[in-house]
Order: sequence, then structure tokens, then C-alpha cells
Amino acid sequence: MKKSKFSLLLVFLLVLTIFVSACSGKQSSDKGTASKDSKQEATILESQEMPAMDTIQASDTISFTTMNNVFEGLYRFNDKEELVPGMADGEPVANKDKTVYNIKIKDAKWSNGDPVKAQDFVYAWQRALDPEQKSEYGPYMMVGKIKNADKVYNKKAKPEELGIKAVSDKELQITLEKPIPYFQSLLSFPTFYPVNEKFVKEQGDKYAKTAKNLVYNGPFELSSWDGPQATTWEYKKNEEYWDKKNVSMTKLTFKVSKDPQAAVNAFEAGEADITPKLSTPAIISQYEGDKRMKRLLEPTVFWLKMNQGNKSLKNENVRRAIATAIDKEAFVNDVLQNGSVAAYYQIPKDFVHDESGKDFRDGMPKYLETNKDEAKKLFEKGLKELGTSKVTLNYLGDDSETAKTIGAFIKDQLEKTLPGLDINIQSVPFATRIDRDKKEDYDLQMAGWGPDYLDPITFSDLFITGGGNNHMGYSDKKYDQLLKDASGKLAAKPEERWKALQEAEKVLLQDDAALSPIYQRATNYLINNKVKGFVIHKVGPEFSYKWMKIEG
Amino acid sequence: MSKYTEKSVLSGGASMLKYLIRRVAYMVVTLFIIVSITFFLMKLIPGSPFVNAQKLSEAQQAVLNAKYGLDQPIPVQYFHYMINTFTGDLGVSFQFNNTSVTELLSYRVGPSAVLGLQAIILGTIVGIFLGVVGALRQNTWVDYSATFLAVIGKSIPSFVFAGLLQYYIAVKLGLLPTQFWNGFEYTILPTIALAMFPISICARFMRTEMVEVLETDYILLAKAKGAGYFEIAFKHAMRNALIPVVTVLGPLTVSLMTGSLVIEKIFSIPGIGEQFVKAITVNDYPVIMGTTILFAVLFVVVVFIVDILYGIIDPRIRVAGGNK
Repeated sequence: MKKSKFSLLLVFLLVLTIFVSACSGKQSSDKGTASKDSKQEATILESQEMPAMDTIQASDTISFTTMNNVFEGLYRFNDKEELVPGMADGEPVANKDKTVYNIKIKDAKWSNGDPVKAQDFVYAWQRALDPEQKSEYGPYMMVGKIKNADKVYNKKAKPEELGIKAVSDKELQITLEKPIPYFQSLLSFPTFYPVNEKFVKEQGDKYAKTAKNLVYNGPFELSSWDGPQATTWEYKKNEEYWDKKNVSMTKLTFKVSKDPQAAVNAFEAGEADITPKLSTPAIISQYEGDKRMKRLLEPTVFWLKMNQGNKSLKNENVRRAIATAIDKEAFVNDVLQNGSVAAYYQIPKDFVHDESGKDFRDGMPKYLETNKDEAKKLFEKGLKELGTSKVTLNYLGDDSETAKTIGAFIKDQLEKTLPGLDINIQSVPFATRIDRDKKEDYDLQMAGWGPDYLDPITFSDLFITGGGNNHMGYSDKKYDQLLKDASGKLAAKPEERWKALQEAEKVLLQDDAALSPIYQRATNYLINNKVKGFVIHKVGPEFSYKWMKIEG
Repeated sequence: MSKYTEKSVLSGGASMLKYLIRRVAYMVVTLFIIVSITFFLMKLIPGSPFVNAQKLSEAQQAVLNAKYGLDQPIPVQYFHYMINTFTGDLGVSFQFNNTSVTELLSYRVGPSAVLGLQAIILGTIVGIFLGVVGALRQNTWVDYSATFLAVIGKSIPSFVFAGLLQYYIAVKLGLLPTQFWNGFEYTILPTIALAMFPISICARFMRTEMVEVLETDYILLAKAKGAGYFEIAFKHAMRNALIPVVTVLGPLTVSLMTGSLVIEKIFSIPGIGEQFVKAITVNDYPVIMGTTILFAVLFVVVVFIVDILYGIIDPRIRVAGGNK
């Protein structure tokens, strides 16, 4: 071992030269295409990998978004949030009681040249309900909606008995369990997309494992994706797409960047054109007023659930006191600072509009407005009714930085406004919180909900007696009846149905103070000024790139 | 090697083999225990592994549980798992749609290993250099600056370095990419950020040991015998001072490869650390178990190699048989 100081120095110099050569050798091939004039390419950052590209296996937003861009269902939402035909040729034709729909299929092709047939949809839906396939979204989206979905899933009926049939190669007939007003928008969801049966059978085990194990009928094709652990993937324009003349982008590159600051750094260095959602107030406040930051009010509401299994929370005065003691304006303005708004409602605004364009929330009052003096009085009344002077409650929240800040804020608000109330914060990982929610092992819980389809009932449904997401011990016969009417006798009467749902919301919040809505979330993205036509959807798959173009 | 060590190595040949066999047996037992404990701890974590647990009814969840064998009693699950593992089948991931765990790990282990090794190499070279120089030039400005650098490396967390490097060098100066893993230049900033800690550890140990060794009798003897400056410093002193550094190298290597979680996240490197924590938060049991096994194997093997290395570096330490 004859090392000399000289050779050590040599090694050091060697390392140094490697550095220097690497620096000078940096190519600008990764510098994003923002600098190239009107070359229709872009680099987009995502915050997670893409776990699945089999339409019945996906449960996450990134997979759904990709599917929305490389596949196409019967209908899709366009850049004006209108539902337009995709694979469907024109509007569906319904029978009198709106339980049977006939839909014609366009002359469209898969990327391998195969024509898209009605049977592709039948095969796909039956596959979604095959328990061997272990689909999570299949049963969730179809059971109770498509005729016999429940029975098929539990193997009490044959797959052919499912409420979808190919009348011919180019015509589908769909039968529902009951009339569903938002049925057409449901069809834009990836679980209902067609699947090329011949291709799937040829691929066997390898189906959907990588980009080349798939065929595409959407505006783009996946030109590269190595599987669920891939941290980068690419789209190229699909030359077999029926509407290809309206697609501008020729290449889209996606890269995964999980650290919020790192994503912003990549954007600033010109390595990316669109960032994932910005989450830190520090970053958002930096870009306040910057034209490159796009802000969107999502139809996602966060509320404080109050478990009536706890005897203090069974007392309505206590619940109402808690709901009105929290200063929601201060919360969104001082804590979140990201454009989120205070929520005095259960069903979000900018979410659904009736045929005349009126928002569901138009003309609706604010429920459970903050009133600290009243809250204090109500709480004292509640305490007297309970025969106690002190109440201790467990507050269950997520363990992300934001969630912990929210918890601290709520604890402070409640304890200061309602003397005698003690709050115990429990921060747990998301999966744990969901588990405890199911077991109803909590007193107060910070939870949120985003819509699965474009209809208020996706929110209202949550709190029917014994509902799958109730877990609050909440039960009100009037609420249940209103919802039953909305899904039953009023299903074909949109105006009255809407009123019923608005009434139900009033019962939940005003009459029963069952939970305390806190805020409706806004999200922020950084988008390069040259990128136009980046479409963000409110419901279902998040983004559409069909209408995107690079200018200047 | 001197006549003394040659003799003991020859006669220790057979006992060396016995030693190796014994060590390997210990390793297997250790791994078995680690895997078992992790399995049971993991089963205690509440929550469902299914991504959409919220939206599924009890009946639907039951169907999924049955398909994945999660409805069987825990001892039965344990038994199946241990058999599968020892035949090389680590199961499939829940979150990544049935990708085999072995496939996931092998995809990810590369970047983490490269990053860890580069950081260790850079860390030891620079660290040893700083330590030796500091010891040789004790209490001069050279010593003080070397020590100062080492202290900075230890007290400032690696993610702070990462953030600063990314912002100033990549964004402001545009000299290197901000993140991702597409070639050698992408590895430079993360390696520097990750190497700061090893630099400081190696420098500190090296300096302390060197200073001590330089005071010993045999160095005095070598000086008296007329050995040159460089010969004393490197042939005699440094070799002895390296032992504590080798001790630390073992666990340091493993913790770098696996604990580079934050660095991997900031530089968007598709490595193991980042995947591991994600798997824990979503209860992806097979991935959690697979990664734990990987780490355990790595650690056990590195400790073993370090022990062997001792024997090579310092003839005084013979671990075979009873030659202590």
C-alpha cells in the first residue's frame, strides 16, 4: 500500500477534472422546449409515478389523466367543460323512463388499425366486474348503476347479463338499474372506456405492462413508458385518431418530481413547462401576481366531521357551537394563503350548473357562519344539558405539514372561544385515518371530499343513514327521504331534484349542524407563458392536452 | 506481509474456513429474525393496503382481501411469506398494480447504489485528505480550515446543501441540471450534497486517529531509524489510523444508500429510499417487506466485509479461531 501524498493529490485532481469536463459538456437537450419557437412539444412535471395503464386497474389521478389523453370513451369533456361525443356518434337515445340508452359508435380506429367496435365496450365493462381482475373502480362505478352489475360481480349472474349489449358493430345498448341524471358524464370516466379484446388476448400477461403492450384510440399514444415504477414517459400524436386535425401537440414529455421546491426550480431553469400543483404557501406567495401561476377553485370541500358516537357531540348545541366558533376567513387568509375560500356549505361552488347556467350555490345562504359570542353561549347551554363543565375531544387529522398546521389552528380557535373544551390532536398517515374513520374511532375528524361525477349527489350521498362514508353516527329521516326522492321519483325532474338536494344540504348544516365545513380548496400551477390551451377539468380525469398548443 | 502474519494465516487457514462458515450461519439467522420481526410489526400497522379503501363497501373489500390472501390468520400468512421469500418470490406490489417486488427493487436499487457509492468515494477521499492534512499540520491554519469544513459538513443537514446547490448552481448559474437521473452530470450535485456528511465523519476520525498514532512508540522508532517523512505519514501512521474509519464505513455506506431519501426526492432520483417511505404510508406490505429484507441483507453483508477488511489492514486483529 504505497500511497504517497502526491498520488492522493492526483486522485483529487482527477475528481476535479471530471467535474469540470462534465460542466462544460452539459448539453441543452434537456433545457425543455420552451425556448423553441412554435415547436409543438412540451415537458410536464408530475408529482407521482403512474401505477397503472389498464383502464380497470387505475385508482389514481395520474393514471386517469393519461388514460383520458391516450384513450377515449363514449363522451369526453372539452375545453369549455361541455360534454361532447368521443367514440359516440351523436347523442344517446333514451327510452321513456330513461333506463335504456342506445348509442351509435363513430367510425374510429385503434392505433394498430383495428376499428373501434361496440363489442369493445361490452368486453371492457364485463372485464371491470370480473372479480379475478381485482378492479377497485369497476364495482365502485357500476354497482347500483348498470343493470345486474352487483349480481355479475358476485358471480350470481353471467357476464352477458350485464346491462350492456352490442346491438351491432356500431351500436350499443346500455340498461341502467334506475334513471341516472348524470349518466352521460359518467361515461367519460376511464373505467367505462373500450378495450380491444383481440389485442388483450394476444398480449396475455403482458397487457398494459409498458407502452408497447397497449393500443390507443385517443388524441395521443404513449410512445414510451416502462411500467409503474417509471419516472418518465412520453406521448406522441396519434395519427389514427378520428379528430387528429384538431390536435396540435406532437410530443409531450412527462417527468416525476416530488419535491415542490425542486419542481419550481426545474420550471425556472427552463427544464419544464408545467409544474404539478403548488402546495407550499411560501412558494405560492412568491408567485402571487405572476402571470405564469394559474389558480383554480377545485370542487373539493374540507370539513370537520363530528362523531355522534361521542355523547358530547350527540348534543346539537355542542356541535353547532364548534361549527360556528372557527373563524374560517382567518383560516384561508392567514393559514392557507393559496386562494382557497371559506366554505359555508357542503356542495362546492363552481361545480355544477343547471341548464340555464345557474350555479348550484347561486342564491343559497351561508350556513354555520362564524359567530364566536353565540358559539360560546351555545356551548355553555350544551354543557349544562350534559351536566358537565369540561369536554375533551380527540381531533383526527392527516400527518402532512398542511394538515398539522390546520389542526393547530382549529385547536387554538376552539379552545379559546369555548372555555371548557379541550382538544387532543392526533396526526396520522392517510391510510390510518381512513381506517379509523371506518371504525368510527374518532371524535372530530378533518376530512375532505372531491366529486366522482358532475352531480351534487356525489356529495349528498355521503351522509345518508348508514352510508359508506357517513361513519359519524348521523341519521336524519328527513335527509334520507330527500335523497331517496332525488334518486327515485324526482330522478327525471331536474329542477325539483335540485331543490330536494339543496333542502337536504340545509337539513344537514342549518338544522342539524352535523358537520362543520371549513374550506373549499384552490390549486395553483406554474405554466410557461408559451403554453396555451392547457385544460384542467373539475371532475374525473384532471387534464386534457388535446387542445394544447405552443405559441411564440 | 511479515513472517509473523504469514505463519498465522497458513495455520489459520482451516480455522479461517470454519470462521467463514460460522459467520455465514449467523448472518442467515440474523436475517431470519429481522424479517420475522418486520413482518409482525407491519401487520400491526392499521389501515387497508387498497388505494381506494374509502370507496369500497365491506363486501367489495372482502373480495379483494381474499384474492390477496389477507383474510387468512396471521401465522398462516407468515408461513406462506417465509417459504416464498426463501425461494426468491417476494410477492407483488399493491400500489403498482401487481408489478413483482423484485422487479420494482431491481429497477430502483441502481440509482441509490450509484449515488451512495459515489458519495462514499468522494466522502472518504476528501475526508481522509482533510483529516491527514489537519493532523500533519496540527494547530495551523490548514488544520483549522480542514476542521471547520468538517464541522460544516456534519452540522448542516444534507437537504440544505441539496437545496442550495440546486438553486445556485443549477437554476441561477445553469451549470448543471436541476434534477433527474439521465447521465453523469445529473449525479454531480446529489453526490456532493450527500458526500458532505461522510467527508466530515472521515475527516474527524482520521485526524484524531492520526494525531494519536503520530505520538506512538513505533512511529518514534521509525523516525529514529531514519524513515522519511512521507514513509512515516503514509506507510505507518495512516494505515493504523484507518481502522476506526473502516469501522464507520460499514454502517455509513448502508445508511447513505438507504437514507438518501431526501436527496432522492429533491433531485427526483428514482431510488429505493423514496420508494420505501411511500410504501409504508400506503401500507404496500410486499414492498415494505422486500425493501426491509434488502436493507438487512446489505447491512449484514457490509459488516461481514468490514470484519474481513480489519484482518487485512491490521495484522494485530485476527478474528479466526482463537488468535485474538
